Amino acid sequence: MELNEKTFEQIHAYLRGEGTEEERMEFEQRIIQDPQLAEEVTAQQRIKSGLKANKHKQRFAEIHAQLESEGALPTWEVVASPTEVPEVPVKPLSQPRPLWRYWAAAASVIIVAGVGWYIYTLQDTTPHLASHPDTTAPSDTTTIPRANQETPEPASPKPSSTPATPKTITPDYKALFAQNFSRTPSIGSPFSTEKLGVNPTMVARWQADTAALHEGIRLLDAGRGRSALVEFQKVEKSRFEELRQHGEWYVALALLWQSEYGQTRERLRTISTSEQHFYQTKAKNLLAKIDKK
Amino acid sequence: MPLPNSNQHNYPNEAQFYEDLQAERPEAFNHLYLQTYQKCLPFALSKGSSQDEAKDLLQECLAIFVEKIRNGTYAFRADTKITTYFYSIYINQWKKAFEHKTKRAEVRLQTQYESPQDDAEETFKESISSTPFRVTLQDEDGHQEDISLPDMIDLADYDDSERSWIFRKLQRAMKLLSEDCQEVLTWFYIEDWSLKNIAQALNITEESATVKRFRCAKYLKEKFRLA
Repeated sequence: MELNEKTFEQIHAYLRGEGTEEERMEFEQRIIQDPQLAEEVTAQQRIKSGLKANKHKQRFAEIHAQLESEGALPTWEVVASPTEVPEVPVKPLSQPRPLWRYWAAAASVIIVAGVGWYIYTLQDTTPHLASHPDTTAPSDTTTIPRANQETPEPASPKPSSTPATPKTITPDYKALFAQNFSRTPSIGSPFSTEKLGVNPTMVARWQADTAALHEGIRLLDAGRGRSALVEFQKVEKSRFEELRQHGEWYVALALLWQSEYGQTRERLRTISTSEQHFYQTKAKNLLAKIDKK
Repeated sequence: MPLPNSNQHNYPNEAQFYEDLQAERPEAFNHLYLQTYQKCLPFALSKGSSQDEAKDLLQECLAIFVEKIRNGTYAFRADTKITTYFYSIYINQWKKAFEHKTKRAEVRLQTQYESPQDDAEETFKESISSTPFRVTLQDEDGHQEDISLPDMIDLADYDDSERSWIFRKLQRAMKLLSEDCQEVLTWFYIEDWSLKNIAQALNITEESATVKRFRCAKYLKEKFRLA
């Protein structure tokens, strides 16, 4: 069997559970008769599950960091070394506090957790910046994305995988983008004014949304507008008004970066007509400049 | 026996917990992590693993586990607690990782560990040779939980080399690809985007997206040799 686009699509349609019973049985017959096809189906399933598992691992690492910053994870005194087998189980140094008590006891702890998370997500950008020695830390909050500083060049032994004619932002729009793009938006915790009884689920949602916002900013900073857009679109659907506003603004910026000027205008118009929108003035100014062009 | 003080989100029943895990709800993931962390970490630490090793192993086993929930390979059974099922996987994986290290002479296998009196070792032997097997886990309050696994659990699904392939080799191969290909394959394999969506995102035709997706998938397989 020679693997081609058609067979590849058939394999994935099968793995997605698509097709009528007859079609699926027919494909299963082919798998039985063709060991190479069977091998490829297994390989594709393995890759798909493996990549998803990597994503899940990343998510659990984030959960760990989040719970750790909230003081919700217990710590243990290690009483064993690799050369010793203990007779007594390890004892906890600290026990996790019951979370209902944790949340109810002190709103201030939540503020700290929120700030901790915020700092954590900000710190997360460090390795990213550090991995690009040509990038210096921004002295100003409206700095031009790194990928914007020079013409992107294809990665070295790059296979013939260059996308077909992606739009590129023109220099004058690039300047506008740079003036408006901030890596460090100001995000206040919606829980800081609460006194008691903050719902942990809501905190988790807020954290997930802020993480998406920072991820989007990192992607946009790296010049990956399409992927950034996906993250910002999640944020603009947030349950939290402030985050929604950030999401809307960054969606407009990502569209600008993608040279989708019509959609950028439309987005900016919506923001500029929204009273009390955090980015109302900025949107008005940017829209006026784009309209002049 | 559930831990008395570890629930961030209390689930009225296991079926609801399973449903939320399937839907990948953040509170379900948090709950799963907290519950399993409190049981699994003391176990691995007491056997000499470092904090990082124990934590990495936990996160990798959890990642594979939730993927199995997502793709339907793990089927919920009302008579087996989800976390109980998971502990067995973790312990089994810890043992495999330990054996792997031992083979590579990174640690010495201790006489005491090899002793037939060692409960954990006995458990491990059983976990491989027969089902159901039993293991006793102890939490920080000294409460013990006996775990007995039903016959249906296929521990062979979780072999150490597969875990290594997923989190080392596959990950490295992916990183060797161009950014475009990484993006396309992320959309396709992880986010389950349709060809139409990929084509729109790349601003190309569906035909071109078909070719690009296929080529990138091919490159990924080729990179396994280098990863």
